[in-house]
Amino acid sequence: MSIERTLNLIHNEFKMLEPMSKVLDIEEYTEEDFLASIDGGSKAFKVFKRRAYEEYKTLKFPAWKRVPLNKFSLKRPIPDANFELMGPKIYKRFFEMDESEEILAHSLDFQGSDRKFTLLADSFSTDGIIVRTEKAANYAETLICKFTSESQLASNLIIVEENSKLNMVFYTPGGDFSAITSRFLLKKGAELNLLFVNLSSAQSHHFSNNYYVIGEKAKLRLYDVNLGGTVVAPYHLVKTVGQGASANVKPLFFPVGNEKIDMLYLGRIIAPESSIEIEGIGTVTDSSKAVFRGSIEINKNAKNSSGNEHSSTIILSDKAIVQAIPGLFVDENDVNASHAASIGSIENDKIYYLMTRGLSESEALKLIVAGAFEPVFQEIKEIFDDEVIGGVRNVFSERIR
Amino acid sequence: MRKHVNVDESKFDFKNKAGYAFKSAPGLDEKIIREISEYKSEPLWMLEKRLEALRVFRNTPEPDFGVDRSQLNINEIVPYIRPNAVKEASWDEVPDEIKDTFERLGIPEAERKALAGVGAQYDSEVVYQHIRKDLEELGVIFLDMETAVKEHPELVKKYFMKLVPANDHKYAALHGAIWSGGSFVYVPKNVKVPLPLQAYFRMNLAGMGQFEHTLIIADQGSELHFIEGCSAPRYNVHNLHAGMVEIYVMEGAKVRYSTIQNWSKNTFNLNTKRAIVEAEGTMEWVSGSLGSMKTMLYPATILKGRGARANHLAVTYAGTGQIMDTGSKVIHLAPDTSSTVDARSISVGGGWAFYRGLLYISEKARNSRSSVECSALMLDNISKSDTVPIIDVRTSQADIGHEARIGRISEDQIYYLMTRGLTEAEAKAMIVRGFMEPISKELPIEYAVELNRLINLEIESSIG
Amino acid sequence: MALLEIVDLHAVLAEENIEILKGVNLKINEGQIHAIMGPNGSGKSTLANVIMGNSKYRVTSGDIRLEGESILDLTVDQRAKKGIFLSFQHPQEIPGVRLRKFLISVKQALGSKEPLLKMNRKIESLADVVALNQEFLERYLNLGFSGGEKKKSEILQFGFLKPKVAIFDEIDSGLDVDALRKIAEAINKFKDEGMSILLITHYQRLLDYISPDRVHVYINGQIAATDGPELARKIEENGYAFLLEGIER
Repeated sequence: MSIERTLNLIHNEFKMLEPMSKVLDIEEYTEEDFLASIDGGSKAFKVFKRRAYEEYKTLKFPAWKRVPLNKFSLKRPIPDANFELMGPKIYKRFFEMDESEEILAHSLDFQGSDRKFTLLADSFSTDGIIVRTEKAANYAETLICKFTSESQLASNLIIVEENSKLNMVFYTPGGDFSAITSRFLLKKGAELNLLFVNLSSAQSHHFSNNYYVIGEKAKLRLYDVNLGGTVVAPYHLVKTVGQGASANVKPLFFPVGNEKIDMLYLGRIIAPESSIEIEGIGTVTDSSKAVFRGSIEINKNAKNSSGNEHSSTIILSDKAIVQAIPGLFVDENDVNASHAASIGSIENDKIYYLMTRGLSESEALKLIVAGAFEPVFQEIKEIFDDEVIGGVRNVFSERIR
Repeated sequence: MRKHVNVDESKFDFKNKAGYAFKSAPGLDEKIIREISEYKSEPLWMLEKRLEALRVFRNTPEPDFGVDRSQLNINEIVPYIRPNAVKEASWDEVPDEIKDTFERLGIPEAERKALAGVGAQYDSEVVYQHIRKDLEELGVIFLDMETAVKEHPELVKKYFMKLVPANDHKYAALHGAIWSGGSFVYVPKNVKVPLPLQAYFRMNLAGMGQFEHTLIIADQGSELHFIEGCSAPRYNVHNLHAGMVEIYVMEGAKVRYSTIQNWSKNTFNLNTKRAIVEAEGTMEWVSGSLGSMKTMLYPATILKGRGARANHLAVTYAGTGQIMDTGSKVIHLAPDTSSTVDARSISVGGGWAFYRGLLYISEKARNSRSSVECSALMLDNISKSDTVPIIDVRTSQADIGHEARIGRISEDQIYYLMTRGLTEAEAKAMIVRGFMEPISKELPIEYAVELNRLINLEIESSIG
Repeated sequence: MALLEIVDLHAVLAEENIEILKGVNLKINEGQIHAIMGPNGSGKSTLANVIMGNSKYRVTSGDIRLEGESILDLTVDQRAKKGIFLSFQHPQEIPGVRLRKFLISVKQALGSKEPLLKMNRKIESLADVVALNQEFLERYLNLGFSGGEKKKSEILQFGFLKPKVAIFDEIDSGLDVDALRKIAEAINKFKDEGMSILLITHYQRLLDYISPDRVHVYINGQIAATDGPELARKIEENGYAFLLEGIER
C-alpha cells in the first residue's frame, strides 16, 4: 500500500526530480524502548505500532536547512501522551484500538513533514485518542483535548461519521517537545470544526503531522494557531475525495525572538466540485523566521473545483525572515485556481491615519497588527469557546512590541 | 501519437541516487579542450579557464531538481565540439516538420540551411559591415566572443564568467569548458545605441550555436537593446543547448535583452542568463520560449546598487512532448530597488509548464518593492501547469506581492468570437494571442509576428 | 485670539528636498469657517497634511500655532490630542478594528471619562445623522466601504471626537448633489460654536451649503488671494486664471 506523499512530480510520461535532503546522526531509541511503549495495548495497537517501527528503523532524521534541526535530540525517558479531555464522551484510548480501526489508520498513512517524524509518533507513542461520532449526531459541546506534560508523543484517529457535526480543539499550552500524528476521516456530509492551539515555548521542538480525507459534501474548517520555537513544524495535508467536499484552512502564526516555524498546508483536490481555501496570516519580529508553504494541487478530473491559497505576513524588524513558498499544481483546466503571497511592513499611511486620531505610533502599530489577526480570532470565538481563544489573543497581543 | 502511459510510482525510485547519475562524460577530456583552444588561437589565460572549468565539471554532482535529464548523454555531443570534426548535418536529416515550418513561415532558402545547422555560413557579412561602421563611430564594441577574447583581453578577463562562475552549477562548468561563439558588446558611457543589436548575425559555425557565450557590458548611463535567437525552429545535430548570457548594467544604464527561442523538440535547453545592476540601472528581460523538449531557464537579475530596477517579461509555451521548467530570479541587495515579473504560460497537447521563481529581499534592501504575477492558460485537459515561487524577505521595510492564476479559455469567449465569424481554432488562437499580448508587444515586431504565426500553427495542429 | 495660525510656512518633501509650501499665511479665529480652493494638483492636501505633521514633509521655516503655541515639535498624535482633526479624502482601511470600539477607545485616550452607555448612544445617533446604517458601526474601520460611506465614517468621527479645529480634505469630491447636501448638513450640525473648520475644496458647490467666513485661493504653494465668500463665486465664473497674474513664482 502506498502512502499519501507530499510532492507529486509526475505528469504523463514526464517526471521531475525530487530534491533529497541530507540526514542527521542522532542517538536512536532502541528495540527495548519500543517494546516498553507497546506494553499493555490491544492486539491491533501492537500490529499498528510494529509496522510503523519496522519502517521507522530504516530511516534517518532529515537535516532540515530552512529551519535547522541541528539542536534536535530524542528525549529520555520516552515521552508519554498525557492529556485532559473535556466534552462529549465519544472517544476511546488509542491503545484500545480494534482491528477495523487499525485497518483504517493504515489506509490513512501519509508522508508528513518527514516520514521519520510521522512514524516517530506512531512507533513510540503509548497513547492518543480515537474519536468517533455517531451518525447524524450534532454535538453542542466542544471536544477539547489538552496536552498536559512537557513532552508528548501521541497518535490520534478521528472519524466524523456521516452527517454528524463536531467541534474539536487540540490544545498544547507549552512544553518543550511534541511529535503528534493525527489522521482524520470525514465521511459523507460530515462537518468538523477543528482548532489547533500550540503555545510552544521559545526553546522547543514540535512536530505536528496531520492528514485529512474529506468525503462527499463533507466540510472541514481548520484553524491552526502557532507561535514558534527552536523548530515548530506543523504539517496539514487535506484531500477532498468526495464530490462537493470543501475545506477552509486558516493558519495564524507569530514567532518572536529567535523562534522559528516551518509550516506546510497542502490542499489536494481530487474530486469534482470540491474546494479548498487556505488563508495564512502572520507576523514576524526580532530575529524570528517563518517559512510558509501553502500549496494547492488540483488533479485531473476534479472538474469545476476551486483552490485558492493566500498568505500575508507582516515583518516588523530587519532581522526577521519570511520565506513564502506558495505552490499551485494544476492538472485540470476546468477549475478556478490561484495563489498569492504578500509580505511587507505596515504601510506608513495606515499608521499616520491612526495617529491623526490620537494614537501614538506604537499604539497604532499594535492596533494594526492585532487587527490583522482579529477577523480570524473572531471566527474562532464564534465557533469554539471564548475561553481558549481569549488566552491566545492575549498572548499574541503581548508579543507586539 | 503519444500513448498514455500508466505510471507505477515504484518505477521512479526517487530515493535511489543512481537515478540521476553523475554525468562524467569520459569522452570529454583535457585533450579535446586543448584542441578547441588551439583551433581558436586563444590566449593562454582562456585555455586555463577552460581547463579549470572542466575540473569543476568533473567534481560537481548533477543538480537535484528540475526536469529529468537521464536521456541526456554528454558523451554524444563530444564529437561535435571537436574542431575539424564533421559538424554539418545533411539537409536530408532535417526532420520534415522543421522543413514544413520553414515553408509556412516563408523563410528564405538561404537562411533555412543555416538555421538547420546545414552549411557553414549564413552570409550576413554584407549587411553587418554597414552597421558595424555606425557602431564604431559611437565607440561601441560589437564582436563575436572569440575575436573579443583576442582583441579586448582586459575587458573580457575582467567580466567573463565572473557573474556566473564555473562553480555556480554543473552546466555552467560544462559551458566554461566548451563554450564557443556568442557575442561581446561594450557600450561606452552615456552612449545610447540607436538600433537593437542582434546575435543572429553572429552565427558563423554550423551546429555550434549551442554553447554560445554572450557578454554585455553597458557602461554608466548607456542604453542598449539586444536581441538573441530567432523564432524559426532550430534543428540541432546534437541535443544540448548550454549557453550563457552575462550582462553588467553599470550606474544609470539600461539594458533590454529580448530572446525568442524555438529549439527543436529533441533538445535539452539548459541555459543560464544573469544580469547584475548597479545604482539606478535598469535591466529588462523579455523572453519567449517556444521550443525544446526540456527547458530549464531562469533569467536572473541581481539588484546590487541603490535604486536599481528589474523587469522580467516571459511567455512560455509548453506543447506536446514538452516540459518547460522556467522562471525568474530577482535578488534585491540594495535599498530602494524595485522589480516586476510578468510570467505567462500556455500549456496544451499534454505539455507541462512549470514556473519556478525566486524573489529574495536581503536585509539591506530597505524600501524595496516587488510585484510578481504569474498567469497560466491551460488549453485542454491533458496538459499541466504548476507554479512554485519562493519568496524570501529579510527586511521590515519592503512591499512584496506575488500572485498566480491558472485557468482556461472560457467557452463564452470562444462562442462570442465565433458569432463574429471566426472558426473555433481562430477564436482560440485570438484569445491566446490576447493573453500573450502584454509580452509579445515588447518583442521586436518581426519576432512578435513570428510568435503569433507559430502559436496559430501550434493551436491548429493541436485542435486538428 | 486666532485658534489656528500659519505663519510664513515653508516646507519640503522630506525625501527629495523639493519645496512644496512656499510661504503660507493663514489665520483662523475661534468659531470661524474657512475655505481653501485651488486648481487640481496645487497641493492643497499637502497643506492639510503638513498641518497634521505627516513625516513625508519637513517644515523648513515659519510656524504653525494652535491657540498661540507652536505645534511644530509635536508628533501627529500629539497634534490630534491637542484638538486638530483631519478628515481624509481617501481614508485608510484598517482590518480587524471595529468602528464603534475604535471611536470609544480613541475618545477615552483623549481623556474622556464618559460612561460607555452614553458614548454608545451618542455614536448611534451620530450614525443616524450622517445616514450611515447602524451595522457599519460593527464593521471593520473603512474596510470595503464605498467612497460615500468612507466620507460618512470620517464625519461621524468628527462629530464624536469634537476637535477644536477640523480640516476637511475634499469632502465633496465624487458626491452627487443630494449626498453633498446631507454631508454639509451633518458638518453644520456637529459644529460647536467655538469650533473652527477649514474646508479644502475644489468646487464652489459645497460652499452653498456651508457658509465660509473667509475664502482663500491656494496656488503653487502659497495663498494667492483671500476674501469673503464672493471670491468663491468669482472663481466659479472665471476659473483660476485671473489670479495667476501677479503670483510670485
